[in-house]
Amino acid sequence: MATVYVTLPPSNNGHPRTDTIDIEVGGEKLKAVAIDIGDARLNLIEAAARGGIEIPYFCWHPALTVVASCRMLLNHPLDCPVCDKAGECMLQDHSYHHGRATSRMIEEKFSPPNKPHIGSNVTLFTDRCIMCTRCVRFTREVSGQAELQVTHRGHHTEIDIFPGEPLNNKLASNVVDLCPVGALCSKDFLYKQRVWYLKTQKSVCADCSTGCSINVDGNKNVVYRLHPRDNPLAQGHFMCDDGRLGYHYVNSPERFNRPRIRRGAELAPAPWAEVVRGLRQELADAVKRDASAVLGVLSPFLTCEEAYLIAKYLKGLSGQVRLALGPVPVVGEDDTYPKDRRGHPIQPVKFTIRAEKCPNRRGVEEVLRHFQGDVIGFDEAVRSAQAGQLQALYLAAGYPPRPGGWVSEQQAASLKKVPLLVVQDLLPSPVSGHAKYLLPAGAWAEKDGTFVNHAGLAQAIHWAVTPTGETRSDGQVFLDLLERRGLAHAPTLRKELAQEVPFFAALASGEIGDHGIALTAT
Amino acid sequence: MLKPSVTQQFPEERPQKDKTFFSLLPANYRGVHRLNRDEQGRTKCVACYMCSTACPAHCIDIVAAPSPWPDREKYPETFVIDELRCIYCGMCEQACPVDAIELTTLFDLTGFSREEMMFDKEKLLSVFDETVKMGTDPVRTRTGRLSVASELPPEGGVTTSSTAQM
Repeated sequence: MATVYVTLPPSNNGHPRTDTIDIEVGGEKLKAVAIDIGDARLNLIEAAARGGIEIPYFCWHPALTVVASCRMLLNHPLDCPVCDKAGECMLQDHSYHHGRATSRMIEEKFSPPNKPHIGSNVTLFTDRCIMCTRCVRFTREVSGQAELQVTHRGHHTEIDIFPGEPLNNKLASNVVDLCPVGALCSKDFLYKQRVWYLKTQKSVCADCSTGCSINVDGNKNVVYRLHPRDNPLAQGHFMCDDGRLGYHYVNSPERFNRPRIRRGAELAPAPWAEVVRGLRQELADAVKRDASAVLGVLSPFLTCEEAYLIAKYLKGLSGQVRLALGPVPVVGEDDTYPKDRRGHPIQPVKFTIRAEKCPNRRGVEEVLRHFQGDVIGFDEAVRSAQAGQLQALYLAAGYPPRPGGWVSEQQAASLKKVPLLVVQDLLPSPVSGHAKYLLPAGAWAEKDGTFVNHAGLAQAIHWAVTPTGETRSDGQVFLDLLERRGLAHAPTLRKELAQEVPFFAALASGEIGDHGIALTAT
Repeated sequence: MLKPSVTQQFPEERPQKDKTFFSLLPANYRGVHRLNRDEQGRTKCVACYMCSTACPAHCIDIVAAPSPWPDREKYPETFVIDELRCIYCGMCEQACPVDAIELTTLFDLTGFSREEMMFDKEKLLSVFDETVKMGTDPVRTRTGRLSVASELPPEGGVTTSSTAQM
């Protein structure tokens, strides 16, 4: 057991504390706060933070080595009005809480030119740099390829790359979050919004099965950026650029924004009430004729609650209705970091970008297992359609647009044979043109629910923007099909799911918390 | 009877700022906005959104972009003020760190449609040209360069732009 004593000035920056004790160091009488840190091995910043005392710092970061860059800052320009970091800047915050109104710098400030060539997603405003070297340590210790370095000496110190070797690794944009000032900025977000306009929601990245905890920043129903949220149970402190920059389809004007029903050759817009009534009727009729010829495809982009609701609806029509797992996009192999200079992965692994490019295969699979014992693949669904064995097919897709698409022209030609083809998706695909019912799907940034990552960690996602046009979240459509009243309230549905499906029993309270709940002992 | 007349024969006679003691237009009258130009004729605005953040009526809409000029980072690609929504409080003028937006003494603001009253960047710059040419609203402000706040305050304390003008 250890106790750390942190001395405080009497006023403690305007926050006087009552729990101080009197200590004497070298004959000097001081006020101190005693902080019990148990057996934890902490540095002073961490220990003081446990006692609610803030020690201002810039260079230290929990995921990076300690460097102790002192005597920084003096050269920082006062260009906050045009700096993207303003509003979430450590230097602004420290200056506001602890700083003085005037600068002691009397020399001419050093303003080296900007370096927009530093990386394809990152730009460097060189004069704003305070030389904390967080970015340099990140590229050496976490991404590993050490693209960034400190050049020159003294007053002329700069961050730079080796000529012709830009910062283009897949973790590059993390240096933007790490930068305590606005020196490194995201090209994607540059000048798009002032940060104080953004509304932040806690969510989970939907781009691979790592399931990075993230914050989604949106304003006026537009998603402007994603950035990682610390979660020791999921990914740690960082996220990859594929996930970070892969959200743009959420704002796409190409998205389906109203339900449509086929009338002859065209898919005509129709009100939801008519669509839901017609769909319920036609599915019930199809089940009456031959329940085994009705199949539901659940994509791994659905939340657990949505998968549960659609499974419950279709299995509620008849136990013989089959359920299949939608295509699981897999690209290459798991990509681990750090890497060496040649790009070969090295141990110990600090970050993994997984090959499975969907957020919730495990969750959807567990729902399918509960409702029908085994998991049917998408290929089997396509084979059944090709063989003419299907009368009705419900494709709860919701796939983001990725190279190659989720369904091929060939598969679409097979699925086309199904008389009652229901497609619920975000964007046009080879199969959407053949649908009898075309329903707009909600993107992950528009949903509340649960994703289960590769390791069985259940994490909550929350909506940051509302669906476009007449789009209803998938869960809401499934509730309508079930003729259940009310809104798709995630905690309520989660409780129901936990009661019914044993795999999710740990979610019985309905609340998950910020870090998620591990559902399997892995 | 012997007092001078305070009635003004509007519109034949138009109020002018500080023309007489009984002028109907006070010196700090807050009328239509203008966007000031720098010495090279470019808009001074750096698209920092301070005015639209300060605006209690939410009538300023800005779209920022990297500036085409080497001497600054950011400029307004579009800058629109809804003159019908504006309450003419002058907070935008106070918030501006580069003295790019000012309220002029133009008070007779009329239009035939709501769209016409959405003043865009070109319109606001033309208000600047007009008011500067007429001499009714001389440029009151200082450098228009960012970072002035980081300079040491002038000897004898800070002089605000409005007192300097009067």
